[in-house]
Amino acid sequence: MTTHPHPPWPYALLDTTAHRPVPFRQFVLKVHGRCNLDCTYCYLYQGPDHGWRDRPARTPERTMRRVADRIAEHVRGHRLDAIRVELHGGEPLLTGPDPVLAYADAVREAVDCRVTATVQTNGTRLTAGALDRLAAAGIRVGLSLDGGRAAHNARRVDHAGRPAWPAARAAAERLAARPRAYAGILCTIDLAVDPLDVYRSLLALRPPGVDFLLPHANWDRPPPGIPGRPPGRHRPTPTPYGDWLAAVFDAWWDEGRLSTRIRLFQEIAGLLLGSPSRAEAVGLSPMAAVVVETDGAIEQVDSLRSAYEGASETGLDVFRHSFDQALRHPGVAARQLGERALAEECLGCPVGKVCGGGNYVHRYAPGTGFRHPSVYCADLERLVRHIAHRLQRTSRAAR
Amino acid sequence: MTFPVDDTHIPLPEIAPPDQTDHPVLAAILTELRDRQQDPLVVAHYEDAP
Ligand code: SF4
Repeated sequence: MTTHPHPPWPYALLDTTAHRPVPFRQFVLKVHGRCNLDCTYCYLYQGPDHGWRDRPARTPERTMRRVADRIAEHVRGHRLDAIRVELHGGEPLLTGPDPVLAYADAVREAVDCRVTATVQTNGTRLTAGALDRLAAAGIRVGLSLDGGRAAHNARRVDHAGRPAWPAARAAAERLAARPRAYAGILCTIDLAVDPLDVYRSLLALRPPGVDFLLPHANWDRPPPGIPGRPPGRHRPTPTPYGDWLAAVFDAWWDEGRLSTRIRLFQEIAGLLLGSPSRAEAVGLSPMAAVVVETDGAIEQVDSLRSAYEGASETGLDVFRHSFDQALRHPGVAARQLGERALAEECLGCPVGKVCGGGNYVHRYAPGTGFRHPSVYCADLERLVRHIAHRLQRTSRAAR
Repeated sequence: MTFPVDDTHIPLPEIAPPDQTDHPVLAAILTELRDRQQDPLVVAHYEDAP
């Protein structure tokens, strides 16, 4: 299906036999390939990659069973004691919870290890009945929202332009009443809205965890608020995303209690304290996630689709290939190399071990590929230094 | 609030994890990091999952 050639790094330049692969521990399984929403900024349906049009709208049961067997093979082969399964879309609850439950059941029946299953939804189809059934099956629910008020979610609309917010808010209220089933909220940053308003309104929804995501962008398609320029470590330069996040960090840090977990901040603080990261956004830990599409294609993470058409494809599928074969794919291997995958600028950067070049997806530049600093380079440094400063003062006071 | 990064050559401070703290957020982070020490290998997860 690839219509564009992959760039030289990592595809032509990386020797994938020269490193020891790390087994996958997170399986992102597409339940539905379509979505009932049409968010104006969606990289999947509004971005350069239209591959979703060629795939089945829904994963057939035969494919679910095949995926489950492949996961079981991987778990056995690497003696894994725990995996994570993310039921994804499109909108995974598009036709109700049955396909999600069936997929999770298929994996749990096939594997001999602990399975943490989570469905990531826009919330609009999370009825009380659907939540009851997911919770009863031990499937956690994560919500995608842009904030905790209608105005923050104005870009989240259905195909007729109607706002998703009323149904999403009802879903958030249901989840707040079921904390064991509530995985948290993912919130993509919009510079046009006030960071503290977004943060406080999300807190009112009582999520156990929040993550703030930088909008997917790269050197070819810079994010709103950042000028287009060649890849590099440009300084000095404005840092609107770093400033936005630093404002939220201060509110969170100074709350006087742990109001909610915020993954990005906790990971940066952990890295500054000498621990490796569990998030792809920062740090140098090997990436252990793989995606399976509705047709059984084994892919790299969806967010790569924001770079160019076909960017997430591997040419592999669960009917003909094992997940071990996917570990040898250059795109997968490049994300398990730590420092060896970084650009010169990042290797010489004073915050490099914490920033880690940022999210791999944000490093892309046409013609060369993924060996560049992040397009959010200055914002990441601003945030890392801000957290380092606050953490150092708090840690000193603790001694 | 936007301003240029102007300290880009300065190394990050070395921050050792304190043994104990009254700061609730730092305390929660330290607890999670202690759990993490049990992992033989820490891996990164996809960010589009909570
Ligand atoms: S490590 Fe991060 S801050 Fe440093 S040059 Fe690379 S992207 Fe920029």
